[in-house]
Amino acid sequence: MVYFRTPARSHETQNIMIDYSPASRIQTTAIEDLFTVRNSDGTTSGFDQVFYPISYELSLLENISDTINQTADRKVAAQARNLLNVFQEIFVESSVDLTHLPPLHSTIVNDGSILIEWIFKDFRIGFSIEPNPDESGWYLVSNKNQGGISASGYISSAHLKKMLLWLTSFVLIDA
Amino acid sequence: MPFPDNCLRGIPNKDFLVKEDGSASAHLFFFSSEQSNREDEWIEQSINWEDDGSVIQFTLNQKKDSGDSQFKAGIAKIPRREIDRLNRLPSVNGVLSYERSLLETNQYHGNLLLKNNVAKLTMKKIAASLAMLVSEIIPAQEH
Repeated sequence: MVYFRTPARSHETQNIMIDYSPASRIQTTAIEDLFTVRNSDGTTSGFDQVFYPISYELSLLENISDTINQTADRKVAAQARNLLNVFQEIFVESSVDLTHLPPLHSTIVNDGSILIEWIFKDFRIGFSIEPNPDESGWYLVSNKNQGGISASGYISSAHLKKMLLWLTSFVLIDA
Repeated sequence: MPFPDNCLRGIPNKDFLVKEDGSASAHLFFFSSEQSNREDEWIEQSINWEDDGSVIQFTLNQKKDSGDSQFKAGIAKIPRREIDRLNRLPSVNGVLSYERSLLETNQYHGNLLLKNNVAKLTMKKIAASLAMLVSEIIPAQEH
């Protein structure tokens, strides 16, 4: 299922069934072609808005993208963008249904960092993207229902995709 | 004076709440050494102790010097026994504490304390754990 949203009427979505290949990149012009009506007199008509394809998987990360765009610190923005890109890769490549998962939440903290959190009833995963990349890290904490987990690590020392795959697997098993 | 069952952390604005479900974001509980002018081994963040039934309203009514409401997004309530349980975890290991710190205008005032030699990432992880301990978000009253 691919969701479309127009900039002018962003509160409206149209549910379009498309045979969506995770490895494909749907171009805006291709989308416009889908909505072009070819009239019998040879003219064409269709929607006059631009449609931006947003899969549910990528909408989980939409808030992070907005936060990155508001971040003044380029080092922090670059690290966050790298994290976002790897997450996108994992979500797009995943064959598992992610539609039951909440979106990730992000905010710019007054210490200059970006805080990204993925919050569930009994646990939460967080990423702190710091102005000093050596201090950027991740954590996984849970309440007593989930065993009182308290784990953390530095992003700079991790194989990022492996680490995010592990955290995403935890989410899929325990959410 | 013994400590009550709950402490209250004021929420300055909606940026400290997760829009999707209204839960507390971890940075509501971030400790800052710059904002903590102590000469001992701790850094602090302000709370009020829920000593009686009037403290919630007292906290919601707290004002900044400008006259604006100090806690526009309400209050997060945390059970003290949960803070104690968190502090006993091997990964936290006693770096948390709390105290009373009465002020002229606030007899309920206290602080959550964190040892000042805790690494920044560990501080943020502990803050996330504190956010998970919030038992209730009491909304600010609309005027």
